[in-house]
Amino acid sequence: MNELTRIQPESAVSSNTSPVQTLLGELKQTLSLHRFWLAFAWEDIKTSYRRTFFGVLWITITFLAFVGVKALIFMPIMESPRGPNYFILYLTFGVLVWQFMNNIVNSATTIFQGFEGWIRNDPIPISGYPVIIVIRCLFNLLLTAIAAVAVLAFYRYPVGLAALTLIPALFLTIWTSYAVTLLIGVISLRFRDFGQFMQTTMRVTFFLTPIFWFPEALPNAMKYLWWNPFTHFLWLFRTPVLDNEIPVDSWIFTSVLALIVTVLAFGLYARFRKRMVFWF
Amino acid sequence: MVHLIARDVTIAYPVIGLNKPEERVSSDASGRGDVVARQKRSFILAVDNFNVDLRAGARLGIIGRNGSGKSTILRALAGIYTPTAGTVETQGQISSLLNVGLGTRAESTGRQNIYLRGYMRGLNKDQIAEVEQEIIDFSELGDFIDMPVRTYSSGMAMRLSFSIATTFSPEILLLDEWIGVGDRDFQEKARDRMKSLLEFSGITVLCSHNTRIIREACNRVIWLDKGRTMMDGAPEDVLAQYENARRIKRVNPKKLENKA
Repeated sequence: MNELTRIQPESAVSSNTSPVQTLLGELKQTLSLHRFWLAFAWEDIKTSYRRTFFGVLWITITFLAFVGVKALIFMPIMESPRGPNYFILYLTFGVLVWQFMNNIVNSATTIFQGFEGWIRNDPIPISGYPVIIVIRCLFNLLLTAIAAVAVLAFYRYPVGLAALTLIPALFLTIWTSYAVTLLIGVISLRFRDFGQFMQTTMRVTFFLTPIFWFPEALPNAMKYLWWNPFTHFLWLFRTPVLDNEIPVDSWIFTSVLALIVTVLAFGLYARFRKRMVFWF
Repeated sequence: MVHLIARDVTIAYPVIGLNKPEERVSSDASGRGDVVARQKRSFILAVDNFNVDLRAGARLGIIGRNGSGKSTILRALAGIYTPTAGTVETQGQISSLLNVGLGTRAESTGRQNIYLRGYMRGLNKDQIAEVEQEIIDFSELGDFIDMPVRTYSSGMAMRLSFSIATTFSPEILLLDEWIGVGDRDFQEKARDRMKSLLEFSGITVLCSHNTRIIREACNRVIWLDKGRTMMDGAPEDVLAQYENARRIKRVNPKKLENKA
């Protein structure tokens, strides 16, 4: 036991640089490895649909089937303020954004476990692996967005200039997705229950987010559900397209949330980065 | 100039999920370093005060039984494990082959894995394409290069990884129990390849419990036991002592334990 006095797990000193400098250095290295993350994400996409006839089109097919079935069941019972066509588009864009967010969170719960072989073999920044997840989910988003735009075109729905805010909204969402993936990834690696907890949360949150129902129908519940962050990311995309309005409240909410998540994610990562490799 | 320096490196693993006092043990069956409890958490003292100073042309062999801390120290040298205490200082591009299958994407083809590892090096597509054929030829994989790596035998996977790691001319090559895998012909090729790496003034660190491999490949040997450096010096001296100790233990294991 006298051996122990020398062991100081907290005070690992490998370099004299500050945590901020180390983090910036890592981010720079992550950016310089962009070809690796891209190629890896592409391999993930390619191999998951290998030997299928429709290939990645399955992503689009699944999306359309999901929206179609939901529309069939809910259209007769939902009071749509602007007719049945509006409901179909409302649902389509709701599911589109939700699937992306759901994809990000669910992938984040097992991200580092999935890259164990690489993390334990190669000294490249662990904070780079979330990039692979974000690219993969963005690719899925692209394939489903094409379907959503096709639905929009099918109903000849007029889209106004507010839709231009989708571009900055996408950037904000990409950044938040990266930070969220890192944050959830670090916590789920250490506390395996957290991953399960998040997966359960996502199943429940699907119903607590106005994807297929209208907030006007549940005014009392909305007082609480307004604080559901997924709602605001959803509104960031759906409101400009369908209502030609810019949801200012949601912009403030999501921007503040992005900042908080970023600080939490990098704070936690900087603190435990060196120990994460022992958590497998 | 290429160098690899470890000063007073100590590594204690946290053992997650072994926190109840009754589950604590002082030394596990495989002879791995002591499991120690500190502040309600358990740690395995895998490497204790390891020192090494390697310059261009060094071919270090690390020998020891299973669980003696060889792989741990290799991961620390590679920059994967941050030492609990002490420092590791490196100058030069590191390439590590720590385990068959690690650092390859099993669902991807051998060829795609060449590209993945090239991109990881920061190379671009053209730079990788230049050496692609050389890697394929050296690995002797032939048409298998376009099959998913998960269909490979462990020898084939090892040949691919070794070819990739040594073709992207690493300055520092870290190998864990590697040369033992694969058939005899390939082992010979691998040894030649490692010797040619020395002409580029590289550093090689090779871990093994096989004295023959260490003797052939290395010009310096460190003997580890339970995370401690037992001896450090010329291969013939250290290996002689190591084999001697093992012989004594085989004849009379009790006696040696009493001594220790």
